[in-house]
Amino acid sequence: MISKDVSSPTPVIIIGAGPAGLTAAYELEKRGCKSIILEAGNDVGGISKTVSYKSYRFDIGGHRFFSKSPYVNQLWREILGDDFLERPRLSRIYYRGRFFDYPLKALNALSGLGSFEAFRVMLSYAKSQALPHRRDKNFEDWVSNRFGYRLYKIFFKTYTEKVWGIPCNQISADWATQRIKNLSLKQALLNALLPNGKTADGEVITTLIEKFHYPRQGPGMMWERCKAILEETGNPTQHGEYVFKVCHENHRVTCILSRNAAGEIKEYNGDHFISSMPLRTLMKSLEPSPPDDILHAASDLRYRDYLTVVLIINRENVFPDNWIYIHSPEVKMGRIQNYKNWSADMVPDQQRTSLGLEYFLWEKDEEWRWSDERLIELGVRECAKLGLIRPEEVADGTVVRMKKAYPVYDHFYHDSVSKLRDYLAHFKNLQTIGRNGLHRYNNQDHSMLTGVYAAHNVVGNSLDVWSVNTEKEYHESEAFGKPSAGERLVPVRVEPQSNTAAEVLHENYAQQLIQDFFSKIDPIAFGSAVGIVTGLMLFFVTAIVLLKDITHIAPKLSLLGHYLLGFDTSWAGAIIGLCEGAFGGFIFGFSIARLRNWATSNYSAFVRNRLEAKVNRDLLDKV
Amino acid sequence: MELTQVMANHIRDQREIGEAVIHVKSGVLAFVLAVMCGSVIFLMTAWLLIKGGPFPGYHLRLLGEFFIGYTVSWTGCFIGFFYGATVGATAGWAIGAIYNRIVNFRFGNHSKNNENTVN
Repeated sequence: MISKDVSSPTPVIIIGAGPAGLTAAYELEKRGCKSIILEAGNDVGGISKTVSYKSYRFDIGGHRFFSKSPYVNQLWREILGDDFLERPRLSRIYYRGRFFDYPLKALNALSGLGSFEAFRVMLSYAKSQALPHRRDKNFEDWVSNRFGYRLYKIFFKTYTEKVWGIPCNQISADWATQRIKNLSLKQALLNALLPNGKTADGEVITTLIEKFHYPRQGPGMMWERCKAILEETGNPTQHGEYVFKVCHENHRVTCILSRNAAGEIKEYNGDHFISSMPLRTLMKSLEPSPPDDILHAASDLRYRDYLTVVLIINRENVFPDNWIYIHSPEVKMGRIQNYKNWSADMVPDQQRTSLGLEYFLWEKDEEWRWSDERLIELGVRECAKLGLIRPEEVADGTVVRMKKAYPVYDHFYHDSVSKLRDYLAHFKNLQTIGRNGLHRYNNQDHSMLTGVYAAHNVVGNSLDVWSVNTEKEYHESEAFGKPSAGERLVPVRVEPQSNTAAEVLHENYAQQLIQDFFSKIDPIAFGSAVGIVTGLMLFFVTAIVLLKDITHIAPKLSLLGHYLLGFDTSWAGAIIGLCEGAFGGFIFGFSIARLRNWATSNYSAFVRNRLEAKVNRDLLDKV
Repeated sequence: MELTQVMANHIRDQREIGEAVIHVKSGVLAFVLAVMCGSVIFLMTAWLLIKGGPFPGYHLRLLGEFFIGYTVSWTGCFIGFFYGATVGATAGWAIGAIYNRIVNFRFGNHSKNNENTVN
């Protein structure tokens, strides 16, 4: 029997109570629209939820809160207020019995590797700079081209393959290149030339490496609070509702059907539907079914699953890091979180420490089906092997499994997603958002932005949800900051601090200065101008001497003949001086212009390389 | 990817800052060259006076044939500065004006429309 939800005439139906879904509902509420959020699980926050076990709270992976979007930063503060902490960051890499600073520091890495390996690393780096791969076809090429193959093999290959479960040469370089696509050289130059100027890309990144924001009781606190706010304002989150059918007609979704744990089926009707469920699942839920090629494309999408073994240790301090990357190939775990170092409130007993051992798996893997006890045993054994704990120190443990935690960027995903995106574009009242809804490896802030965009689209705007976390985002977010951008009516971005007119003027002036300084001087034009002026000056000087008949100067002026072929103090010499002066002046001016352009171009390349190197320092965080 | 990221970045950088061919502000170029030329004559004259000797500025005084009133003396320093500055300003202005005309001719609207300063 199907029951109909008639709680509101036309609420927006949102599938999934992750950051994207809840943010969409939050934005809709701000704009006077009610929504119903359907969540299959019992928690909110999706992969950003915080799980509690005997009052020990832990994340599904570590979730640092930082965003370049002022709007997202403002939302976080709005929802959480004073419970939003600023935390220092410390993370290291564990590789073959040694800890390495992360982000990588040259001296620390080389000294830790030993002289022979360090030499090989440097040799390999030199080779990558002199003879890079012609194309960054895959992640292996991309990293090797920037760090050298040896360094890639030591510090990137093992961990990346643990996380993704596929060889690095089969991973698309897309997400890696995505990181540097939006770097602004102009802004970097501004920072380099005016170090006391406003914060820009490079500086923001440096700061974010060293510290981050974090909710006092983990990221789930943010989404639990958000859910509570939404419920207070009449936007319920309905748990245990698994959406299995999305019915559509004439390019419009008409209703969705969900089933709860008791097997009851509910029908939800609405004018607008927002889905953050995995694209693959959504496509299979559509009724009538999409064409075969669309279903095939959906089936091609892969997801990496994630499992965390939480160990409660009878020791006040185990290690000082927030997390440690485990590169050593002899253990299966990829990363260890120390939740107490994220926030002391994550642990009820300060004499104890809770560690999260992260395993990245496929659902079909044998370990995925292991019992919790067996997985805890594995975790204890591996931690002891790394020398982090003694087995007898482990007081308790638990296991949390998270399916479809990471959308996989293999060689096929791009075409599949494009196909699905084109197909979904036909639906007038269905938007997909979030990490799995777009099959994009978004951070939490990106997912939230997709929710914000979707909500604004519901109220009549036209923002491209798919542009978030892409090169196009720059333009889209620019539009986001302006009330009217072209034909679109777009929302106004709320700035945390509004600049004074003088600051804006100063920034504009500085930007203009950079633009001017790095624009090219045309060598032909400059050479010609200098040539004409030099030639004419030489002609007039000779003419004056001839006209005034200054006999004692004439021989001295004729000495120029040593440099100007055929020149003497005569009218013929004046013409020769004009021509040769013009030629010499041209060469001089041309060279000056070329030299100046070369210098500025090299300087800008230097600044860009430095900026990219700075950005790539925290590459592992994005794996 | 058809292009390497390096090439793509280069193109992006070019688009961002390096594509425009700059116009020079003739007045500023004139001012800069005026200060430079004036200072050169001033300093050359002053240096010879400080150095001293029986015939200070034997060759430099020939400038007096072009710059009326100029001598190798302390007064001449200032007169030389004035003339040097005048010549420098004229040359600078002429270079700027000719350069801008050629840039307009060669690039038309692709060059930066407003006059901007270099040097």
